[in-house]
Amino acid sequence: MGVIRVTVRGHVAKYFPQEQDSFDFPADRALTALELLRALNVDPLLIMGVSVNGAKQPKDALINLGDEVLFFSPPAGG
Amino acid sequence: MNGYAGNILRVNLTDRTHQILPLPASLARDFIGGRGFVAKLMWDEIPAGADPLGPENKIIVAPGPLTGAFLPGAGKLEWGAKSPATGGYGDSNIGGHIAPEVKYAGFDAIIIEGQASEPVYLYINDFNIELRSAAHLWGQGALQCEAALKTELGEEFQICTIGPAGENKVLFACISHDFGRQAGRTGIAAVMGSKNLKAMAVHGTKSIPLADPAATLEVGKQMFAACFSKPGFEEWTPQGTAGVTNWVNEVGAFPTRNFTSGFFPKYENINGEALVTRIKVTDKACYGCPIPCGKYSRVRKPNYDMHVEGPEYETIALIGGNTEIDNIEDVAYANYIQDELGLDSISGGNVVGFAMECFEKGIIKSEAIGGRTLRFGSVEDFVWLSEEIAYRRGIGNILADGVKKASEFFGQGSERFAIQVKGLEWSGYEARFAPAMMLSYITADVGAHHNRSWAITFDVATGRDKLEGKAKRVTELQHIRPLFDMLCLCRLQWVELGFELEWYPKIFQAVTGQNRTWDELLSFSERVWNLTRCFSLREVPGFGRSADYPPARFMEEPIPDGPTAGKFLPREVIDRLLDEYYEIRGWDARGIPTAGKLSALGLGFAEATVAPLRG
Repeated sequence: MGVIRVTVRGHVAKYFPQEQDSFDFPADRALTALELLRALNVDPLLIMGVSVNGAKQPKDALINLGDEVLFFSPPAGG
Repeated sequence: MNGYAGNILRVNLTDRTHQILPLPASLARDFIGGRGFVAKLMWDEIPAGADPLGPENKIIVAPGPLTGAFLPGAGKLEWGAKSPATGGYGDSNIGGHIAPEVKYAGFDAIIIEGQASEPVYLYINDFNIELRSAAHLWGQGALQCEAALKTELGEEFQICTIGPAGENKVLFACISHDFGRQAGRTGIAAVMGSKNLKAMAVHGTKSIPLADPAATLEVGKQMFAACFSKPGFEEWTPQGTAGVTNWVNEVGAFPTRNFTSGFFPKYENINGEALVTRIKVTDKACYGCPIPCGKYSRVRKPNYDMHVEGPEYETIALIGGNTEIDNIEDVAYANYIQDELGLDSISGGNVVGFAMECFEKGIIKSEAIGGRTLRFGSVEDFVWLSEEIAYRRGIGNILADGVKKASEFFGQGSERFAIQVKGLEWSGYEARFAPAMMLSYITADVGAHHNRSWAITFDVATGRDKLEGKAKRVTELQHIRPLFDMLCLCRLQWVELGFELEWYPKIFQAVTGQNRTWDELLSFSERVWNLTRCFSLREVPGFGRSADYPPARFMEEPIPDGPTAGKFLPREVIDRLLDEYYEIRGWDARGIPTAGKLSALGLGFAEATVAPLRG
């Protein structure tokens, strides 16, 4: 068992569990960002972008235990 | 009064006089500032039934109580007038650097009335107020005119201008400032043009009284620090609002081909990455802004070499996807042309897209436009038509009145795809599979604009096929976002970074000395929302529920392709959304505030006007 460090950037944090924008997600294996979002009961369409350990990645990128994943909110236009 | 300059400037263009009047304490107490001042002064000052382009219409300009103080994003200036586009309440705000200058000059509001007999510009240097000849500026582009006045007056003056479109009273002309910031919506620049007012130049050196200067400095410092440390700060800034382009396509909400579709297959050629890698020179921020959304760009092609601020998301959506111009260089070029002409690029892109569909359907024939074409995807056709509109030449004279009036002229079913509400063209989110966003657009007080309530993430989060809770959330957002316009703050720190709303009552108290909770401040916003509704009820015959529907395309035509293919919101769904929305608002089934609601909000003075409309 390990954890994935999750940070949510911007306004969609309110749709994450307990409206948290930073938390550890316990996991027993590596997950894709899509799998992680579904496990958190968050529609992946809410997320504009994903970064894993500081590098931008697609939503199907694999996140290993101990990694830090950042989820970006969509901005709201001009 | 702490937080306020304490004065209102009244300028009469007809007799070339001005008065400096004390700011009524009741106005500040009950309507806060900015949009609140605009709404109340429009109600009081503009005679019922005034011609929007006649001398009896008035332009109200107002900063807010936090304008010019030390906090992030305190640089918005609110403009208002009876809208020539909708006939009802109109406002639009502008960033840049002019709002603090108005405040430092000593004014919490400016009322501009009458009509000059010849072109003038309004010169404000503290209490030295003059109407100066603009004969040498008339005919100049909006950006060109600002440069000329900077040369004439000095860099310390902050300047708003109109371009040829405003001079020619195009109903979606915009006010320009800081070489690329615009008060774009509702056609207030056309009102300036009708008054022969080419520009307003402002310089101020006065102080603003603060309730607690030390607390203002301390809370302001904390707010800046909180902003800089916010997750997302570094990622959001490089692309600014253009960064949302991919996501809007992913959710199928990107205006494409005059809102035929919500997905533009070539979006990667006009998105934020294309902007950053191919044309961006640097970031550009407004007064006191730690998260510069402005992108200053340069485009060099064989036939042009120009600089432009932008394109930001809305321009990418309306000039790019909506007219299918599929490369960022041409989108930026078309953006520059409309900026210089003084056209709002949201309505501008929407109107050109409408005309292109009319051409494609044979409603506008080639022989009617001198043998030319109006093809989707053609930047040459886009630029040509923009100029025809700005100078009201030929078919441009019809389109210069916006898609609603143009479709009434063209007929042949074109009103079905005239994408507007209340006469204001729809902005950058296709909403046929986003009920909360749809409700946001159709109930926005100025017409189809996204800035009153941006609810598309709420739709995605709570289920786009569900209606429950949508009206409630839209109502909440319609109080939160316009409150920023009353305080004259940029809301992007909150929207884009998730900056906590709890900061704002703290700084409001430090500046004004008034101890208000956020919910109390929201109640002022609800008051203003109802007052603007009453204004439009007073001014627009038959206004009410009938003005709250989207065009037929959105209620009857399924989206043909992309991730939202097959979706649309039929009229019965719109009716259900409106019924729930009116009930939450305390309005009757015709969309008219009840007597009880007006009384509860301190708007009893509007009851005599509104009561006869209830029947």
